[in-house]
Amino acid sequence: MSAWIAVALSADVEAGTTLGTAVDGAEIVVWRDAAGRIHAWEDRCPHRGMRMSFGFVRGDRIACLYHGWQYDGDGRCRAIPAHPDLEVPATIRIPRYPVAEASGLIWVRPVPDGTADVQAPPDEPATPVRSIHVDVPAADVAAALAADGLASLATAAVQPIGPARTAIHAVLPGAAEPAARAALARRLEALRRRLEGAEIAEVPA
Amino acid sequence: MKTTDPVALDDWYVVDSIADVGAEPRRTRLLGQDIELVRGPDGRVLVREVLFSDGLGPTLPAIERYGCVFTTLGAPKHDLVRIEEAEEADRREVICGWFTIRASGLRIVENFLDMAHFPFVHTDILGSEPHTEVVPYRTEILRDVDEVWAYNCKFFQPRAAATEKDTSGVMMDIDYRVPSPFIVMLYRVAPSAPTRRDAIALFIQPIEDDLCRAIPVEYLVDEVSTMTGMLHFEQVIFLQDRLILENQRPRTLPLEPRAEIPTRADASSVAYRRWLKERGILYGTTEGARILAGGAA
Repeated sequence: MSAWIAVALSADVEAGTTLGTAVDGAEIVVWRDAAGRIHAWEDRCPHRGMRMSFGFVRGDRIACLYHGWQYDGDGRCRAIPAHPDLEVPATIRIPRYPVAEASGLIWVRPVPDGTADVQAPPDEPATPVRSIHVDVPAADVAAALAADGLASLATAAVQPIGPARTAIHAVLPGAAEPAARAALARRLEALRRRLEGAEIAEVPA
Repeated sequence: MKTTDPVALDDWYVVDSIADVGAEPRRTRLLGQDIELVRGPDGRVLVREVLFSDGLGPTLPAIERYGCVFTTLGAPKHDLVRIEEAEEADRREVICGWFTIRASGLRIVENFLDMAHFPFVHTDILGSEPHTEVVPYRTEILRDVDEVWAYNCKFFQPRAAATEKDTSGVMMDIDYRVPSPFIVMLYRVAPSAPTRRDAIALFIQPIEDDLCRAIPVEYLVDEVSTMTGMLHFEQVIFLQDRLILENQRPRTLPLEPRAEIPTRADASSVAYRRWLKERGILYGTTEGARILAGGAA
């Protein structure tokens, strides 16, 4: 049973925008409609395989950049601009992933057309800090985070993107001061430098 | 490594521009095979495979036409496409630059045939909302010459060519022609000379099954635009299309009918995919990638 995986900071996906990402190689489009609802779907238009993350959001729909096919919040295609009078068959739809927002993060269960009956992560007040991408496997990132001791002061959710690419999405509990956010961000950057084997000196704080 | 697909091998492919081949040997790759080109002492282009030992194989058949050098790694059953407009003395031959695209050449052909994307990918140039409708058009697979054609493809275009400064738009009427899997052409009424048609060809060099480079060559009636103006126009169009082509998944073209969902506007792509399937080409297709790799998906 798949757990929830963080894929972005809520603050980083504004209404009317899209974000392309992946979990263990499965490409996902995360998008927020005009009303503020978050969606996470397979990042592929079934017409000609174009990535939906390059598409555009209008109101409560997302449209594919290639031919403008419009999809509603249920993942169903509702309009095909080449055929304005066509009633689009219900079979033309995009698989959706269960998605939840909690503690300043966007979470996805990487099960296409899966149910959301697995308990979502707890929703606590949080201040977003940053997402950071690291070109090493998720297991190495998790181990480095544990060794660093970050977990005691922040949430640093690990997202396995591909075999050697991982994202860390970090938030601080409650209302955090800018100095605390900056300090955590620098600590994460240092962690990335160690993991990626950089030999340059750290930037002084 | 050179592909083993006989259908792909037995065809003519563009590999260089005539103007760029001189006394200095040049290398490129066709269908996974490295080749070397050089202009020999008699002025003719010599094309040879680069062998594992870094030696060169025997000379391959080569044709210099349409501003380009074409060759084959096999034994084509047809001649290189005949473009009659190239023989008309009063036309401008515009040889555009090369574009490299990380996508299957077969996807590039489909994109060239497609009109429904004009308002979204080439906004306010080749199409604009709300003029998005693609009215029915006729497609045909010509059995005698073994080519795919689409006739009377109509679309409302704000500014279809570099000559059109006035953006009020016109209803374009286009015929499309696919003379071979990696060559596609269109014929459209010339905006500045309505009784004649511009002919635009796109020659695609498949480097790997998901990597190509392509060169547009045009035979235009246009006498007004500068060469630079026309090249810039083509460049904008191509860069917009590349954004799409490099983000289609899978990169290769699926020929299995249920893999993707066509509508009536996609009639030319449906005909093209059916024709490819009949020809039995594997290279550049999704199913072919599995077979040629020698294993299951």
